[in-house]
Amino acid sequence: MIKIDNVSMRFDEIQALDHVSAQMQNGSIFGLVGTNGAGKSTLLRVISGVLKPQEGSVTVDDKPVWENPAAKERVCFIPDTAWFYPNATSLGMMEYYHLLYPRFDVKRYQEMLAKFDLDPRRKLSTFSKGMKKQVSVLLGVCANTEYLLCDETFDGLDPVMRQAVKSLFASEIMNRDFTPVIASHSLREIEDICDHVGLLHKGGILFAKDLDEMKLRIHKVQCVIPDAALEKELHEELEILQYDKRGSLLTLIARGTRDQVLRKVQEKQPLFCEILPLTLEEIFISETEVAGYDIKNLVF
Amino acid sequence: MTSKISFFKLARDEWKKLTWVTALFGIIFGLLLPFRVLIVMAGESRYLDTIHGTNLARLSRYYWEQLGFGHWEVTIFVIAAGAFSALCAFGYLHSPVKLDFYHSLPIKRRTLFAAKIVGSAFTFIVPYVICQALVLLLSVVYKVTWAAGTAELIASTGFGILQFLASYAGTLLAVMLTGKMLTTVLAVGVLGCYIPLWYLLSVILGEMFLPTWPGRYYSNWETALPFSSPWMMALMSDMNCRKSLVNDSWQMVWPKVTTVLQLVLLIAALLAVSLLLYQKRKTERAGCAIAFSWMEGLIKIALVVPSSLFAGLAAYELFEDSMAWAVFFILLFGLLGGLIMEFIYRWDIRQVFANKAQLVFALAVSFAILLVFRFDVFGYNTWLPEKEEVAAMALRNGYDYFGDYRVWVPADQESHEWDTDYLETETIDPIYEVAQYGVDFLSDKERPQEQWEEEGTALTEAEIKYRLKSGKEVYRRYTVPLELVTESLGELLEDPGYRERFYPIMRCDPDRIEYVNIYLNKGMRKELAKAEQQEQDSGAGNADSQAADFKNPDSEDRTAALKDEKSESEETRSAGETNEESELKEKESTEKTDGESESEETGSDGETGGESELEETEPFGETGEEYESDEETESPGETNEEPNMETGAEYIAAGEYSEAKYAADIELPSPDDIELPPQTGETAEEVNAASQWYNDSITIDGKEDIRQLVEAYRKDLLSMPYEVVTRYSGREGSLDFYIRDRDDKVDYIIDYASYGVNKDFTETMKLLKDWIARESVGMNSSLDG
Repeated sequence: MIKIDNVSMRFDEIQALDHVSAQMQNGSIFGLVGTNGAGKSTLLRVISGVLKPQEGSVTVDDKPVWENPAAKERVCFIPDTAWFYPNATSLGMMEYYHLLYPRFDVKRYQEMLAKFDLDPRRKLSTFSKGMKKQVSVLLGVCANTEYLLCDETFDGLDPVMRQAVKSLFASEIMNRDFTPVIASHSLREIEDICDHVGLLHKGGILFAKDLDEMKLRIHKVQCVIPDAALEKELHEELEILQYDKRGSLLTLIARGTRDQVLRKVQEKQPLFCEILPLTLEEIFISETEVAGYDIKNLVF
Repeated sequence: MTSKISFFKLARDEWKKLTWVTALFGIIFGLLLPFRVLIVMAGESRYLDTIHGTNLARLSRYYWEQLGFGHWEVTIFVIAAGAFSALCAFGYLHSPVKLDFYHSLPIKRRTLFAAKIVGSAFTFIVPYVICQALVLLLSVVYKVTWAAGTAELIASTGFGILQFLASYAGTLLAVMLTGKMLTTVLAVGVLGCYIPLWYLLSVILGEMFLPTWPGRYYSNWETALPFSSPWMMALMSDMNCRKSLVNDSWQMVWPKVTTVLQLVLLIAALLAVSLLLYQKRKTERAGCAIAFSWMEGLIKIALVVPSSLFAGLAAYELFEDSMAWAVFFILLFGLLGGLIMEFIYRWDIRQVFANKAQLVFALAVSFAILLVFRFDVFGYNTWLPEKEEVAAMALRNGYDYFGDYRVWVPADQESHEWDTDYLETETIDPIYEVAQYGVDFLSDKERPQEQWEEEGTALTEAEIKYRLKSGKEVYRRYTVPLELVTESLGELLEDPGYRERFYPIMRCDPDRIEYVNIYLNKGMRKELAKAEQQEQDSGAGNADSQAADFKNPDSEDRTAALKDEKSESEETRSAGETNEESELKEKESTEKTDGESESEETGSDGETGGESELEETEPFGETGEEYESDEETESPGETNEEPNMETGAEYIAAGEYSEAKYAADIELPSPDDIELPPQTGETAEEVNAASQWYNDSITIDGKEDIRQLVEAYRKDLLSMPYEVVTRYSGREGSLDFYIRDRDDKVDYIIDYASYGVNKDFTETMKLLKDWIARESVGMNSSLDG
């Protein structure tokens, strides 16, 4: 488990992280979302030991990460901009990673290079941005570390590759102790893969929760209630987070279990009533509004 | 996780990443070492065994001359390689992207630091050692192998690696302090030049505003300069290694153990500081000008102050001591400097006015320094302790140079730093009087120094040391009349003990003197030759035996001798042709000469008897001045309206003090004193002979001769008045002693000192007389031992 405890980072005038606390459980995919400049990359750098927090601490499996190879060998960091040493090839980088990460799976790496159709002997400087991203993801995955920190990893990958990488992560989780932490500025990019999500805003983490748990407590209902008085009653009885009426069709996002929400609606004798699946964005609305923020200004 | 084995793998990997640097160094050092030597040897070996060519020994000399210690042309590249290698290895610290990569790796920073150093050091060590090995291989090819040379080559290779590391470590420090490549390069420049910059500034300030400042030679700055930066230390460590040709083979001087230790300590200290900074350095400062934000203000102030002061002082000098211009320039250049610094820090033209308080502070410091020096706020120039506070004093005529005491005295007496330290005496009254005069003289507004000079008063600079009873030591330099210093020194030198301390030649080991050049004016030479001729005439057998002692006069000397004789006879003929005029002037001249000189000459004449009338009546003056009057009789065609300023006294009388110093220094005989050589002829021999006429000296370089001369001169010196010995006087001759370094095994001259001589130096004259006679011509000669 990665434990972030009250971490603060300030770059001159800018408060990049403001007393951030979170936990990233093993065996799940943690999504770190937030706008540009929210502090996602900074948090990942702190977790990977690149930056030393001015306050607080980060531990990886109870070991402090700063200047501690024993903790850092459990973490591999794929930064936003992949860098390879001059004239490096995929195989050259493999040798370097193999030197530093003894559990590096050379065989798998070579197989994956072939699957992703990446020439192992070609200079990486001639690769496109997306290809470099693929190489760095493969290096990170094959390093066989328990935690893989991915900063905007899907940025620059085409949809096919994006899906392939997601599948790769899923496969790794299935086969070994693997916990990817994926930072992204777009909820839509990670909503289908993350189990846990943390929302960063202006250096502070607004919340970090289990996605399924959140889904159980918020529901989206579409219905038609002919009686205006009953409709008004429904408004008062439900904790409505979002309300939209087009003609006679009402769309509500309300807090509560599926049964609670459905029962309240049906008591108002609707002509039509249906629970709709929530997007990650819609889930966030409720949580951020509780925290006093307008989610539309934060993420979308 | 990172075991020892993986560390070396890591270092090897770092080296592998810098393959291109290794290749670059391979090309550079390949050209500098084996290729260069190959070219030289190929050129020289063409002449091997040919009639005009070189022999194998000479070829060997050519070979070993190219190698080993003391080759600054290679050292410069070694130092540049160190800086370049450090920049390549640690350039990643300037890039946030690269830092993300390196600092996320599961290794400690100190491990990465060490691996980078080891890896990048190999970029130099491998090609450098290979190139030196190739050079050594050439010695086998050309059959010039030499065990001692091989040992030096190996040692110099190791020393080259140390120099590389010193430069590397210095550059590494600059990298650690900065966050951008541009500022790293600037930081290398600043670290390299900052101490010399302040040294220069202190010299300018002292010379501009502190007339009593004893000068840069009394400052520790001078000795600190070789240690002013890692690059300077690396360079100077090699500069002190020399090689000289002794007995047709190269004698080498290896670096001293202390030099090697200094370099090792420097490297260790710089690497330790760099590692500390690396661990303290924040990754997020990559891309910022300075890695430690708290340093920005300090660096800005530290650079703006000297740069604005330089500008202010330049303006002060340029605009004829105008304080207004100085202040304006300080303001202008301080402001510009501050803005440029802020621009370098922020890289944003809109933020150049940030941190105004720092700029204001820097300008205030600059102004304060200028004002303190300009108005002598601390009373430096007028400081004079009460006589009761002074335990001892020392006085030295600033225009004198009897040798650097630190060099000349025996090693066991080498405990002081400055010349005046050796001259301390508790007889302070005569010196205090000079100091008092100097202070009063400086503050005498009604009669400034210029007026003294216009009046023709000879001035000199008196270097004075005060040792106070509190233990404090203070040095000053005062401009005072020469006569005052001469009197004071004369008084002090009445004490024979002090006299022995005063002249370094009294204490030096004669074996360290490599050779002595003897300069005599024409009158003295003739007098000596005449006296010797008399002796020879009276006992030919004795002269023959003396001549047998004379060793190996070379062919050039013989040619010069013949020319000299020829000239002598021509001069005599010339004198005969204008006999009437000459006699008239001789008469006038004789009347002008003092009684003592006259009586001496008469005595001399009586002894020589058969000499021409001209030579018989030639007075043997005490000084050049007297001799000049004599010259009127020798050159009847010349007018004497223009002053013939060849001696120091004459220049002083004319108010040309710098010229006086110069004249005294080189001690050229007057052109009128020298028998003119034949007109420059067509042949090389004639040209050579003519040129030698002006190089009017005898060189004594035989060990026994030198020892005899030094002993004789010491005896004479004990009883001679100071005025005769000082070069400030128009003396009749001088002995220039050239001395070797105390620890040197080779003939490397590190200092020379000029001592006056005249006919009253009887012991010395006795030797010179013999030598001159043996040489036939007296001058232009070398007396090999």
